Amino acid sequence: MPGQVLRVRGVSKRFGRHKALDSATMHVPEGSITGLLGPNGAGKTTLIRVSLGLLRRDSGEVELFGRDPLRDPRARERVGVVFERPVLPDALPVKVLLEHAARIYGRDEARDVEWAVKVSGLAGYEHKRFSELSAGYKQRAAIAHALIARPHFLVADEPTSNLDPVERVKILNLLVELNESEGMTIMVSSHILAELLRVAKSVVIMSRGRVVSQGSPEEVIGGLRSVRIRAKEPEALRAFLESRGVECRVSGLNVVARLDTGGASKLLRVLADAVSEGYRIYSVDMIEPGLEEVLGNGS
Amino acid sequence: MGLRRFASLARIDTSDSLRPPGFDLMLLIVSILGAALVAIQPLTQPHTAAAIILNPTLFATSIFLALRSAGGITGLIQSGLAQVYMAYPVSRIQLLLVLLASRILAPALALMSAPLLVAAVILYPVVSSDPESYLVMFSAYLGQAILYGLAFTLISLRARSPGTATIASITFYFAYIVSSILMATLSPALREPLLGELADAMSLYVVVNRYLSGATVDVWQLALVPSLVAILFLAVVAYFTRRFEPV
Repeated sequence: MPGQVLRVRGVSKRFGRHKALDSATMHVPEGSITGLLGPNGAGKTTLIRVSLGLLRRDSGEVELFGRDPLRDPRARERVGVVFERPVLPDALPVKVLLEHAARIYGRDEARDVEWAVKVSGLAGYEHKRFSELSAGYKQRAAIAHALIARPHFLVADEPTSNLDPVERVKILNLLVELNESEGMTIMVSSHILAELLRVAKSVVIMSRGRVVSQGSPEEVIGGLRSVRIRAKEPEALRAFLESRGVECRVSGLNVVARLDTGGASKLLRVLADAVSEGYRIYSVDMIEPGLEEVLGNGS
Repeated sequence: MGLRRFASLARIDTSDSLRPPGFDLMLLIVSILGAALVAIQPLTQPHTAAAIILNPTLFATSIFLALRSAGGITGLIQSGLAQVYMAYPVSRIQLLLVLLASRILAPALALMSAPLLVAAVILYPVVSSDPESYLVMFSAYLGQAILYGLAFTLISLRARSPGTATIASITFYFAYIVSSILMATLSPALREPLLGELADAMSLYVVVNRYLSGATVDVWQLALVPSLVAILFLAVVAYFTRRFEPV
């Protein structure tokens, strides 16, 4: 059984009256890609920040590489972080910034900067300042910055949220490549089901500050009942899905499908058939189920 | 934290806090100002020369610290850069020391020493007669700038927008100056010399200048600003390490 890079036990966190995390418990197995899935406001970013020791927790325990990151900064020595909003100091060219960052981590500034620039796909743009880069290359610069520590654990908080579909796929493929070729443990958060299903080997579902379930995608996603599908012709797609035994309804420009039987696998197979038959599908998103509903279906 | 790690993080942050052209322009202006002030009047004592140069420079430095350096800390937090820094394997106290070094100490040192160096060249015969008193005056002004800088930092850490931080910092600065002036003005009217002594003590450079000129100065007057610096430093450390959370 693999070890655990990150263990979070019973962590709660309040911002004033708002309870951002409510006794959250989860773990990230070594070598895995763990998807942190939940709607906006579910507490994913707060969980990531608490896990890294950037925010204080009101209660509970966090162990990152066996250390409490809030009290022991050495816990972050083998951790790279890509934040939701890519931001880096922009008074320096990205390459110079990466060289300074490499020194902070005690890395070889020439070799590791070259590697991070190459792997992140930033080559050719590393001499520009951060503010001069396009959104896609800003994200790549943020990834290069996260990789400069040659991390064993890469945390990416909604790394595709500001990107176009082509860039999204590239970034997700990069995460898979880092996991497979470098053996890097990865935790990636998203509110988009389809994205996480592309990469995650383990999924953590969050809702209203609580971790409602954790397990393999099949174990966990199968328990979530509703998926919103944006399609060009929602009525036609609804009819197709119903003809294949998927219970669904049209809501505006979307088709909302229930996952009562067969779970995500069945729905994804049916959607793949729909696409091959010419239906245009723009996105597939998880819809936050009611907390009781999720808990009732959680593994 | 090793010196190499400290220097690298400070280099990254200094690239933002001392970013041209704002800082470069300010440096040029205070240097020219220093040269002009010592060139237009006869000066025979090094500490008096230092005081004449550093009085307006302290004002410029304080405004710079409020607008760019400490105010920039709120921008750092708002932009998300603070959490990028915090994600490095450094403790909060280490990060705070880097921020204070790059956003308070470095600009204050540079802005206040540049005109002083220019004046030292122009007034070499005067300054070389007693360089220690010249440097002691410089230290007094630097201590005063650090006092303001620490107060601005505390305000910036608590503020939620750079605009609010800047306005609150400048309000603090003027309140400090005005309260000192009020006490100095009211002291003879109320026949309360302690008020006047307190007004003097609120500006370390005033009491140091008086001391270097041979006037009687109480120890508590010399100790007031350093004590305030120590208290503010502890308050900033306590807030940053125990309460502060990046947005």
